Amino acid sequence: MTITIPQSEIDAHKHKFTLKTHKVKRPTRSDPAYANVPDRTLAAAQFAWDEAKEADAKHQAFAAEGVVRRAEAEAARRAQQREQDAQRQAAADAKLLEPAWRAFQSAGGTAEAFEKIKPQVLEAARLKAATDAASGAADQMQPKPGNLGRF
Amino acid sequence: MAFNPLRIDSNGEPSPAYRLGRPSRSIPAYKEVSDEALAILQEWHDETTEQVKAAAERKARLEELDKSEEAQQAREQMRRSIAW
Repeated sequence: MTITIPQSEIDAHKHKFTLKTHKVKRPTRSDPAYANVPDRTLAAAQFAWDEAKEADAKHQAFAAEGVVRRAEAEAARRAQQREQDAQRQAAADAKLLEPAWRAFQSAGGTAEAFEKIKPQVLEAARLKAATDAASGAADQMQPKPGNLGRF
Repeated sequence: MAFNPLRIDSNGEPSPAYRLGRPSRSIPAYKEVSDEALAILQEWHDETTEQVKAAAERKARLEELDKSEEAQQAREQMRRSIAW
């Protein structure tokens, strides 16, 4: 025999399961809280749990959609940041390479040949810039007549 | 650090999306996501896992403290003062 349970009876159990089906197990006879209740009550609680489970799954899917949108936005933001960093680095490299390119050109070098040696030239130029910056800073720290040094 | 939408909220619960598991292409909700977004989702998930673990440890410590002799005495004292 099939029992038809009105929705109002099912709804009366819902508050126990809504958004909690991952923590609260589906009611069964082996659950002490439902061990001695009438069949109808247990069935109503089980229907309520099943409906809550379906609603939870929808809620989860909806939350996942939002999280995916945010992740895509964050990915776009990071890509833009990388692009800006690359542009800044390229501008700084171009500035460093300028004197070497002029010297190379005046010695009869071609743009094509310069492209080939660019990585080594850039590395040397970066090293020179770093050395110059460090020696400049060290020079400023030296005590001089009239001051006791910067630090 | 970007806002992590999977993180634990004020109720101590992570986003329901966290329960889907560590994002991967085998989870339907993440099937169509770009490679970089998937990596970000995994980063957020791992960060949330750390938060969940830390919260569980805090809860266990508090429960342990609650069982202590001092806590029981304090409760008894409170009960007596209310009864008085």
